[in-house]
Amino acid sequence: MDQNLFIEKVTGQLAALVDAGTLTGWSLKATTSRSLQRLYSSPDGALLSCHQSRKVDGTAYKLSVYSPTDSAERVGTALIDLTTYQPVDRQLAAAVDLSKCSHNKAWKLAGPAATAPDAVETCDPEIRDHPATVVQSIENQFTTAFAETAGCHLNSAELFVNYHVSRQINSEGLAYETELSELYLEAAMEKAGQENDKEVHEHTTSVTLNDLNVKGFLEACALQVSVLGDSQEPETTDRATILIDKEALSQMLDALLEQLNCTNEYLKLPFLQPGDRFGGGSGDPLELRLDPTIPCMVLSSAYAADGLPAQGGTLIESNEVKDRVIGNRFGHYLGLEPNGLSGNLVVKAGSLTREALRGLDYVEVIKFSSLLIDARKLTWSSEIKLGRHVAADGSITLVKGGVVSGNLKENFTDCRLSATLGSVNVPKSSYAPPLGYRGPDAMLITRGVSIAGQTQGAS
Amino acid sequence: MNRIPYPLTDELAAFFPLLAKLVAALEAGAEDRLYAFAMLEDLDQFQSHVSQTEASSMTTDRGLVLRILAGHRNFEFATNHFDEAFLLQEAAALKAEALAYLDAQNHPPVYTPHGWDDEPLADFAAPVREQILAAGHGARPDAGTPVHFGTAYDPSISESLSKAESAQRSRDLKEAIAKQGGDQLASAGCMLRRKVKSRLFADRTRVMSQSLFSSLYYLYAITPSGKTIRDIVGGMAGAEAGASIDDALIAKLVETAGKLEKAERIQPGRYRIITGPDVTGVIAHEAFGHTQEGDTCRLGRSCAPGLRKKGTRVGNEQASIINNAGVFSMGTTPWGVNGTHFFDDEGFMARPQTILDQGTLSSPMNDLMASLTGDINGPAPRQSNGKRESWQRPLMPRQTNTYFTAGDKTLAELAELCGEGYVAEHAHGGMEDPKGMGLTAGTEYLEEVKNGQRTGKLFLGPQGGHIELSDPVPRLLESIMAKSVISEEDPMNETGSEPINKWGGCGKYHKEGVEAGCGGPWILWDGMNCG
Repeated sequence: MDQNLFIEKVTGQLAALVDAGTLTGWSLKATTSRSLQRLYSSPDGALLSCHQSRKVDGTAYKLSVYSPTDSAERVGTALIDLTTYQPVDRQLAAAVDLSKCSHNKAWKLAGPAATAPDAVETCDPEIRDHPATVVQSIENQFTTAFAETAGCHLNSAELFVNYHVSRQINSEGLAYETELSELYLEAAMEKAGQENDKEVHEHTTSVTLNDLNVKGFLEACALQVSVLGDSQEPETTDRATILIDKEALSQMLDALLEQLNCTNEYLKLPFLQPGDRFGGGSGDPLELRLDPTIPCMVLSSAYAADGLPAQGGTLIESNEVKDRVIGNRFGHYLGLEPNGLSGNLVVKAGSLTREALRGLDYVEVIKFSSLLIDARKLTWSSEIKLGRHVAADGSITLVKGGVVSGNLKENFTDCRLSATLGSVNVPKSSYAPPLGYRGPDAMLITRGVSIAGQTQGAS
Repeated sequence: MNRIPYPLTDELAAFFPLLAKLVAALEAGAEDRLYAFAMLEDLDQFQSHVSQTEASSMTTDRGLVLRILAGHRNFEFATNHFDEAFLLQEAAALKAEALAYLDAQNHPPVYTPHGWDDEPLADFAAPVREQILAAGHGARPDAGTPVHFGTAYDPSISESLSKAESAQRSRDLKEAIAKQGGDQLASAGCMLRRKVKSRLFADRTRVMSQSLFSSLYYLYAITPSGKTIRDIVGGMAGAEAGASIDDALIAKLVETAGKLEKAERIQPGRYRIITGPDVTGVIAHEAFGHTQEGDTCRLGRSCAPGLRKKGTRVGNEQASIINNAGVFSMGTTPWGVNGTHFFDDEGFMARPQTILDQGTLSSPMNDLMASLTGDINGPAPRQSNGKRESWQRPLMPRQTNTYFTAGDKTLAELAELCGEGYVAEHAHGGMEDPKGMGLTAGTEYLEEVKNGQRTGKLFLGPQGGHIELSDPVPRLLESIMAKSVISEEDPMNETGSEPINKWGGCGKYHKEGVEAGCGGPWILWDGMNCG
């Protein structure tokens, strides 16, 4: 069925249910997705050989309904997927029934803004209109760039070219459309001409073809390959100094962001509020803000998730919490004015340079095996998949294995943030929500880190 | 308990003629050059989550995958638009693409599928074998006879199929935790999920379907400092899967929360560890689970083929790991967990595979492509491991239920052998490096063992978080000191049951989430890095 006709039919019946008093409101999100997916082997260790070629074409409809209860203060809620192959009236009746299973404090849905927010660029038209050409272009760039690397053997690669367009409407008259294009490129490679017990397995993502930077990605992978060699476990210590990259830093700040959302306060989970301090000491201060307007980043959008016009703003200044995310629903519950704060994490550069690391004894974590961060306790732990121990005299030992763990409140005390900036742009997956970050591309942590590995002096 | 196989709805069964028509369109006139199948996925899920707020949802997702295997390349089209004319048009386009590819190849290999007559029924678990024979009225079915497989559930328990009753049960469980915890808890919650995951498969040899009915009860308590304690109860069953949730379980959950709020931190270092089935399972899944996945092996991304070629042992005589989608009972529990299926996403029937036998590696867990191309040891048998996150994602060799084989000790005997160390009972993620053989398995906390006894004293990680247990895989698998029996109530395993598997999920490296059970007995390890 044509999408517009289907939406018209659904919204017509929903409006009738509101008029009849069966529902107090509803919101609908319709998303059309297209994807080209390629999995590659490389029998000769250099060229891409596709072994799985997929084309995916789908539409999804997510409907939230709100129904009256015995109390005006409470509302029944339900979320269902609508399908085009089942009768609409039957599906809506099921949604109404389901809403009787969950009663919540009532809140008012976001309506249209007095002034429509400015549009934000979130889609590469080439990916939307000519995805097969984009696939071909990336394959060509990959082949050329890989041929320019030295000493690398390619094991496998993956490429996803995705496009989504979503239409959101609700019973308050809110109506807007958002687009998102996404590219995902992955490569696994190792040293050529020898038997290896280590490989480099990395991926890069972007919203536009230009931002994918295939050549830069493969050069970075090749650089990692070049340092592979004999390694040892890191030494056990309760007071480690470590250097982490922008990916790990962005994940840590994303966990912190959960405590800067008023939702946590209502849910009785640990939270931070204006006036609280987070980290500090004598290192670089943490300056954290949200920005939904940076073109072509995954969390850029004219609208926040709840339909409010998206706003940028400062959350932490000099390690002091200045503001927090106040969404429509939980802001209403807590008696706080919703502020629409949303978007990509933006962090101010610090003072750390390569020169400043000279004379320090630290472990640079090139890659965590699986960095698991507890957003409630603000603690984390992971095995080191690949790292380097840099001694005070500058000598370097490759390290692998062991467990490194930390405590974010301590980690952001006396820390140093890099003077250079980078971006992280991770699209939403079934595994994790989207993450957009622009800020320091490294962080030196001097407090709150332990390492379990080999006993000092043992081989 | 009277348990019956979950049926296929008439509405889904009505898709069989369309699937057959699409397979015919994909293959017509080219059966000697390519192989095709059509697979319809259907998800019907209800979920109720009650904490400080309440949420009820129904997830409905149905998608169709058309597949052509041409030479050594898979071509797929996937959609959730079911208009027949549209699908036939896409099938024709897919076929043209595959034939154009074949035209450019020199003598591409051709795959010929096996029919029901070729299936090794004796190797299949009883519920698989019985439902095949039931469809054929006691004999092997023919290619056109629909064969349906359903996981067993007890239809007399009304909660199984009632959303309202399930939501109320979720609310009751949350209230029971909150009441038991009183002021010592900041929050409590229960997420209850009831799911029917169906697959319809058609190729030139068979038409078949499966309906996997599962229930999951996820209970949690949160302390004022944010420490979260959870208990996950569930399985391929209806509401009977939640029958074991009683006052004692809730009291234990709350007691643990209280202890963790005041728990000391361990010093980072190496300790003797006893893992419970949950953590044991994560180690099984990571240690030569991922390393034995067929694509990882054939793409040169795993150390396993090289070790196998050299005949290198990678663990001691206690290091035996099985991957088996056909787990339909575990210990004294008459159902499996969410890694269980009857056939995989390429229509290959479930069967057990010993992937590590007393430290010796077997051939990999292969999907169809990996079985054809092989690794440095050459082609190897196909297994029931072709899985995908959903119709929207690519298919890869993935694990089903992965578990260590059982031993002969009781848990008390393991504690006595341990002497001084810790028990790791509740898993918290895991990861493996198949090339470098690094392994890490998380645990929520550790319980002290002193003088051969569990003391009940709990410890958190060095920085107050969860604890990662990590070691190179060969070192770890050499350090197994002893393993427990499957069930102390049935020490000789007279019921012929599989070890306990726990509800789980797996992302391959960092994406492509699929369901994956994992488990095994309690295992005593001589030493692990803990941090």
